Amino acid sequence: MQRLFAYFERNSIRFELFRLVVVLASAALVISLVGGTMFEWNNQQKHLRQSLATIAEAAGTAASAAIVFNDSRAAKQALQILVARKEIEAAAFYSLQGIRLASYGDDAQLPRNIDQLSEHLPDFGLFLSSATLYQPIWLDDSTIGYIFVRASLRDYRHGFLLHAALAIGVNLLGLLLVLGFGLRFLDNIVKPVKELADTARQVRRAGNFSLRATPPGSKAARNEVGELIDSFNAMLAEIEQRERELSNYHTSLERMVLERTEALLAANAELQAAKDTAEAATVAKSRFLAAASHDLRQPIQAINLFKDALNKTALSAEQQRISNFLARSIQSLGDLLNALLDISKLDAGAIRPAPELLDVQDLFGSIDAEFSPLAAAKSLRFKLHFSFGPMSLCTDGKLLQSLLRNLIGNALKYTERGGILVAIRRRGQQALIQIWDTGIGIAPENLATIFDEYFQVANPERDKAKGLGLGLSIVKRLAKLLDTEIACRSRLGRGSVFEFCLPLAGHALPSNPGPDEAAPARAAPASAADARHIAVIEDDFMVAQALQVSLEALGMRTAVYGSAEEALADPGIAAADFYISDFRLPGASGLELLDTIQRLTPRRIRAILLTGETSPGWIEIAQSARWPVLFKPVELSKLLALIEAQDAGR
Amino acid sequence: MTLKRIFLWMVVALALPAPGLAADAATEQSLRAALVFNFIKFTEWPPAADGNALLRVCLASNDPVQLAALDALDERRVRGIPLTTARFRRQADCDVIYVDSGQRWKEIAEKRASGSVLTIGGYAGFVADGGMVEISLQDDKARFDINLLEAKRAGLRFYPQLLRLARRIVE
Repeated sequence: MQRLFAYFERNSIRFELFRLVVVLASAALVISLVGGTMFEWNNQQKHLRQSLATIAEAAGTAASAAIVFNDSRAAKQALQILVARKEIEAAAFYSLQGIRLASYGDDAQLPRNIDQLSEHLPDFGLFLSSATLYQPIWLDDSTIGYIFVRASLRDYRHGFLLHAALAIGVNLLGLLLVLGFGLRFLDNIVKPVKELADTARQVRRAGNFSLRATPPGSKAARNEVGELIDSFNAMLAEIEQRERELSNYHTSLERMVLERTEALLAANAELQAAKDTAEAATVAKSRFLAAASHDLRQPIQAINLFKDALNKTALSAEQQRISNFLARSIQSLGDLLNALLDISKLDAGAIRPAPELLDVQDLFGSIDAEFSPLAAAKSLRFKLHFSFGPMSLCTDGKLLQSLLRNLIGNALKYTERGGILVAIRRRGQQALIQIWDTGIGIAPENLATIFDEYFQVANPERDKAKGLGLGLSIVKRLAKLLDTEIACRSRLGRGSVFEFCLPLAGHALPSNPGPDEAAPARAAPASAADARHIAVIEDDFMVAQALQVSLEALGMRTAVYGSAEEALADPGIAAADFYISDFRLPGASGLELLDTIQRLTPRRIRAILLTGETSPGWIEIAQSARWPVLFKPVELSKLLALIEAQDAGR
Repeated sequence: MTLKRIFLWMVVALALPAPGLAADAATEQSLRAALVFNFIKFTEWPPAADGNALLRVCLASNDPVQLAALDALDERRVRGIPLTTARFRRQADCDVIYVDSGQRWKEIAEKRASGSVLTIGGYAGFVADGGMVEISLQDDKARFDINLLEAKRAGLRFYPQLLRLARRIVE
């Protein structure tokens, strides 16, 4: 039984096919059985009717005269022919009036008279014990009486049941045959499929692609299932092959990765070692430099003293000249040592910033004292701008001075014409410190590298006379110590600005106005002027800076443009409250520029033209202009007065 | 004779009212007429020129009751052929002749010509006189004798069922 269940596993293809065979065969056999039985039933009934009707008719015919002549004895004799039919239990003749003339067999089974009966043939019934026939007796073409026959159905029923039993037996036998053969043929289909499914399952479970499905016998191998198995095996073979290749590849890949990882680790370790070495070397270098510069300072100091001593002796003109060269060489050596010392000290972390309250005026005073003569020596303007009110920074004064000294020194170094402006302005809680110059400028591609050691603008040959290139790298280190960052903007050939922010110290001290020439400007009503937006168009950088710084000190907002083209490129140019324009601008005159701006806006623009020209032609042009013209040099107070006058006249 | 049998007789005597003489005679004559009709039923005539369109029954009797009973057969049909009844005049007009006495049969037999005529007699000795069917009533029970020889001679055929009922058959 267990094996049978395994054999007909539910949902298996064998179960499905077997069910199909059973259902089809059963249906066919049931149809045949029912059909045969119905046919047999019909047959039995027909036979019963025919046989009874025939014998009844024979008896009637034989007895016709007896009936006509009312001869019961003769009629009874005639009924004796029914003996031939064992199944007939009883029979009788009736007259036309329905009176029984003669009877045969058991009288109790016969109706006394037949008034209620109608003519009928016997019906076959499985549960009837007997069937009755009632039909007229004819003489020639007229009815002379009736015959009634009752026949036992036992033999008929036996015959029918025997037939039915036989049919059922035969059908069951047929079903068994169908199932037997069906199962044999099923196996031809199912076994290979099952083999295929089992193999596929094993392959899936074990992941073993070396398994193969067994191909069926030669006969089944020719059908689709055989083909399927062959294909499946071929597929498995291919997968096995691929997997082997993949596995090999994987192994080699793993080995490769391992090798690479080891190499990488080794390289990393080397790199780390190198880094450690380098850092150690840097520290060592810095220490060495600090020690060396300190030690070198002593002999230099000595040389300096010897040089002074030498100068005190009587020297010839030639000796005096050599002594001067010597002094300059000593100075250079001292500067170099100082710079080296600074860098090494900074790199070594030997310097800690000590923030203190630093008065801006004091700071700028010392800067002015130090650099004004140097600028004057190079014929450069050196201007300082700082607000008139008291302003204090909270920072390390020595480091800040060193930083400014480096930046201003650089500015002086790279500026041949124009000047240098050092400005400090409030920016919220911070002070913005700017160092402007009109020097050679820095190309955009170089801006990123100027803070590196030994970078020198326009000095790839490293002209020793121009310094060592250590300045900006020191600046970078100093700014870092002061917790700020240096930004640099520059235009090649026009100048540069270096700027940085430092925190302001607490609240401002009470104002202490001093008597100076800026008093009228400061006295000017600030409320109206505050909102003013003044556009300055000036190609001379220093003049433009001076104007901007002065006007902004009065609380005005300024925008500075180097040319008419630059001014017109600004989409907000027409919205300015006031224009201060140089008369002679590159490419176009200030007058033309103001006319162009006037065309951009419907309101009448207010402006002042500045010019350095004093020829009579220029004066004529100026007088014909719609705007006032001032001749340089212009004093700030006069400029402000004109601005105020135009404001009043609007 | 047992008690049961006496009882049965008494039941029969009580159930059947004693018939009067006239009524008795009429019943007997109707029985005879019915017998005549039944004999015609079981007799087959040879095919005739006129196609047996009519069966003529001739009555040779003076008994008015008997005549009336036999006249009742008029218009009745056998195998679809209508019967007509008439008093006997000559044989040529008859297919069936009913004779009630030997006297009249002698008169008829003297003038008899050959022909397919069924002869039925109502008196004893008719078959011996050369008649074909002799009716005799015994205890209200009809009996008959048949002269098959005469019938064959006349070309008539009796149904075998009839012959089986006959008391005596002359061949």
